[in-house]
Amino acid sequence: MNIEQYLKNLKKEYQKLEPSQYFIEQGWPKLKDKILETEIKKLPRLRATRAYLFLSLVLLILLSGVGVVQASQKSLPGEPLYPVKVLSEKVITKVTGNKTLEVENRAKEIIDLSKKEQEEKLKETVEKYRETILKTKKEIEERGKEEKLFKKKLKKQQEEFEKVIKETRDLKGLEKAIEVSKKGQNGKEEEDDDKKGKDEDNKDENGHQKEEESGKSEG
Amino acid sequence: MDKLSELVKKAQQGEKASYGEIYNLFIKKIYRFIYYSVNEKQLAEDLTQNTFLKAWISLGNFSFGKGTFQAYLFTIARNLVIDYQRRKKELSIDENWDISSADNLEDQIEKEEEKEKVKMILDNLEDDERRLIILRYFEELEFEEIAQVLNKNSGTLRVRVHRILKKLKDKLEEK
Repeated sequence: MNIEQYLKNLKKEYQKLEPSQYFIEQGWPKLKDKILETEIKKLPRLRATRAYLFLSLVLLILLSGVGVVQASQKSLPGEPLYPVKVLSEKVITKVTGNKTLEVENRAKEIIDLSKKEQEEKLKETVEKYRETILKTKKEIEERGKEEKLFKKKLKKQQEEFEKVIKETRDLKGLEKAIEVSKKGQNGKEEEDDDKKGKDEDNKDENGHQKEEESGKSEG
Repeated sequence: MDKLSELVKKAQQGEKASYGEIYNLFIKKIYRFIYYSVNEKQLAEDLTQNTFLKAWISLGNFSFGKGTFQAYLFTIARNLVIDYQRRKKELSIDENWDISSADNLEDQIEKEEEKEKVKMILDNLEDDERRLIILRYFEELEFEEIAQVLNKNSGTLRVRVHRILKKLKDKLEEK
């Protein structure tokens, strides 16, 4: 049985279904009345927002000093400069649109805390890591972009955690971080489809491998 | 610029007549897509109206750089259906029974006749699989457009379609 042909034939049956005549005739006049009362939502003034955030960053740097902001980037939870790091991270995320910065920073902190064997802080940071992954994943899915890149980053983080776990004593927090990172990536079936899908995208219409990546319009 | 792009641009500037033309171009497509997910005429009509209302409200966010207008509409329709199905799950069994019993007999017979063959095929599929088959084979969208609607990678969808077709073939051969 040629299932594709079967579906193509079924298309006629599918298209026979129509809304009621009343709906066809009255749908638009009724909707028109509704949209007369509703304005098109204006796009958020992204440029203005970004400019505002950029100014905030400049102000933050001026007030606290470039050195302080820079130094804060290596700070860990519980340290005096950590709030500066979190604040600057938020501003940078908004200004640059880099959605994964927070996840990356939490992952680095998990590694550093594991090496320092600060178990309590590690536990808290893993929880923050989990929350940040969930939030970022949702944002990325909504945007429909950078999903693959995000998964790759999580995979890399998972590998780094696995490497660190061999070097340090058995820390439960680190095991949890590996689990969280794995969960942030997709289920196995979807991963398989993605891998196969990538191969499919690299083939031309005749099933041959494309020489160049040009012409692809992946989201 | 093609006709649809012109209409969309005018509608974005607030021209309601242009949006009316867009509505007439897509109303049946959107209705069918929704109907085969909810299986209820009145509900499908309501959700179709809501799709166009929501699409109007968010028209300022639409840009051809992000994808086709058709995919934009199907995405809104899909999200509304998912919202409805989520809410429906929260209803008790009794309430569900009340909803289906509200259809009159004539309506039910008509409904069954229209969808019998299509339903036979689609009933074998999960919600997202069903949407994928409808968009690909019945509405003939490009994989890139479907990727936009279902928020997936187009290569992944190609592989998935292949798997669904095999599943359908097996099911049909069983019968």
